[in-house]
Amino acid sequence: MSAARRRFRWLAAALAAAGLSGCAGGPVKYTVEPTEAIRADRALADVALLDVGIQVLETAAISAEEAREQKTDPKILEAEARFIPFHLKKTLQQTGQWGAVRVVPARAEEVDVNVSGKLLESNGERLRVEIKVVDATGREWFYNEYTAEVTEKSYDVLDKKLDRDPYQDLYNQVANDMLAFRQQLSEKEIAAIRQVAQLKFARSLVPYAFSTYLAQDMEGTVRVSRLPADNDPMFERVNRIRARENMFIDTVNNYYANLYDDMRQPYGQWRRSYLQELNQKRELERKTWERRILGAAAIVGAAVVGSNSNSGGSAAAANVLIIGGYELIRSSGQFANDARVHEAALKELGVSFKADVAPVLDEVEGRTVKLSGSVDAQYAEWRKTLRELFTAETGLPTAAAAPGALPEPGQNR
Amino acid sequence: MRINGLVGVAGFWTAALQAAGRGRRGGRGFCHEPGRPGRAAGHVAGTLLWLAILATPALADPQGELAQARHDLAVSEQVLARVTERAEVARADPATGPEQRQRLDEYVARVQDMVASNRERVRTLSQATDSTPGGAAPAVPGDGKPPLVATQAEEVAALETRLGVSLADFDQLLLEEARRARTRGASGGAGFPGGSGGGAAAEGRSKSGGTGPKATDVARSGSGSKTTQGSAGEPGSPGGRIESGTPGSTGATAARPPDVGDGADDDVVARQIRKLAESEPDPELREKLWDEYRRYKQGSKG
Repeated sequence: MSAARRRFRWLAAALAAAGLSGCAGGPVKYTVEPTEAIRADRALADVALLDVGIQVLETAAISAEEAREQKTDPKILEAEARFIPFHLKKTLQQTGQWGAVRVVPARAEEVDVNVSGKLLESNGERLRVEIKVVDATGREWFYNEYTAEVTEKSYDVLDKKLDRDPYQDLYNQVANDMLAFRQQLSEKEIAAIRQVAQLKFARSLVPYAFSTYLAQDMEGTVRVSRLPADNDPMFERVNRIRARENMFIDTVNNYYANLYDDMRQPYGQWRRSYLQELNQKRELERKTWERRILGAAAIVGAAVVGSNSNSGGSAAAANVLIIGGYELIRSSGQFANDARVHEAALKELGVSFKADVAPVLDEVEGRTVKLSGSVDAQYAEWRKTLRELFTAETGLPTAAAAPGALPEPGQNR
Repeated sequence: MRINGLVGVAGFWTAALQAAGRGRRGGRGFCHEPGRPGRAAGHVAGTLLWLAILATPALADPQGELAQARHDLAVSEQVLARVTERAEVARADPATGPEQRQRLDEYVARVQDMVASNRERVRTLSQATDSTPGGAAPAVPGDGKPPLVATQAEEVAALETRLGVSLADFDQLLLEEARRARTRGASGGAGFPGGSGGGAAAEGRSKSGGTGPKATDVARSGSGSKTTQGSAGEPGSPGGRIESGTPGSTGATAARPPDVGDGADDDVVARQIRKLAESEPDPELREKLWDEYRRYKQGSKG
């Protein structure tokens, strides 16, 4: 990314944040160019590492008919909404620039850096996603729309068994943009992000004990107003529970890993076949129109030749042109038929891949929902126990946690 | 009066934990020690438990006695939960023989009897207190359960125990899920029927060590111990974060039994269990997690 382009991006982001942009906070649009992810050349110090939570992508709500038109299926979109974040997670991990990187099933404000996004378009030829990155303090790093296009050659990575995706440039660009922002942050700011994330989790779990540890400034940025004592038993309990929260998300990530592993190769083949069929269909359509135009031109030419000359040779030439033109138009019909075959093949590819991916996706989602239910019940029990502990240790009431009380901002369970 | 009550509670705990500890130290799982010493220890522990309960003198203050009885009940219920959990783990272990299973059942039954007895005691005292003029039980706060203990320290200890048991239950749930995911990953799970995906996916998994779950990071931010946060298993993954320890915690090295090695060959699940065990301040839970770790490692080698 050139310096000028980066400057433009910062300016655009600043304008968007200030509400001065013409698109009022919409994403900054980029077409991805070939790029490699910037890797750390050495192990980073503890203070430089931030944990990242990547949300499952949002998908546009489309009807079954619209899905058919786009040669996809809502189930395929659901699977892609999990596949893409998981590949981004792998890309970020491979850079060595980040702490723990996890795909999270829901918004997680208690993680250092939260990555959310929307899947706008995905097929064998083009991938278009919105990506928004926000840290725990509420600072927006960027909000971009990335578009990447690939050729059939891009799918060679599937044959080489590389841990790369045909759209790897897009993932690399997101990783590099995240890195570019993080590199602007001082160690103090990075430490503050981590503290805020930790205290946000504590506040969500024990609001009556930790609500005063964080404050929000005029810009909406969350800051640490004070820190718990080193030997604060309640904070230690919260951290023990936070470790379990991370383990829960790791378990869900195991599900996603299974989905990713199962899906990766057939998904790649589906996209490759899609692009091949699409290219063949386009080629046939191009030939169809070429022949129709040539045929029409020949017939028109025959009419002109016939009307301007009475000689036998001209008449013969006109006849040849008419016959040739007719033959061209007739043969274009065959190409059109062939193109329709490829159109049908494209639809069939989507149906077939959906049939493959649906059972795996259903299994993963079923397990995630079931485990989330257990975790929610567990959190309810922990909240109750922590409330009783708070009362026992301090003698103070816990009105904030009374039944019916509004959850704290960011309270995710 | 309070001292007598505490002596009773202390005796109760000592006996219960000794009984549990003997079983655990004998090998994997609970009540694993073969031969008569284990049985004798169980009898001694049971006797001590009963003596501890019976030796607690009648308290002059009916309210205090009722509070004590409720506390004993709460503690015994916690012990029962813990013992039952360990028993289930031991039963699931194929190495547990029929005789050990029988002893296990006997012990669980004894603890259940103890809980039933404590319940009866609470019920009797509650009735007696209710019938005493001016002796109505105090208002029950919050969840409708009666106050369990009489002092702040006891109450906090009981609640800490409850939290610890709950965390252990949760650990067990996640460990089982991780194991299931690992099994599914290794076997191919639902897979992609008929297509080339199954084979390719299986190949991908075997490349990753056949564990299915990959790239899993365990963030340990708390409970004190220094813990590495990383992403082993991923090429070029970061070295990870070293969380700063909090005072009062036991260091990873101190909490690590000598037989568990350095974990260099751990896979993702083993690493998760290991990290939890290293950072767990509760010695009971920690030992349980180490047991789980050993069992997992043995299973993965087999």
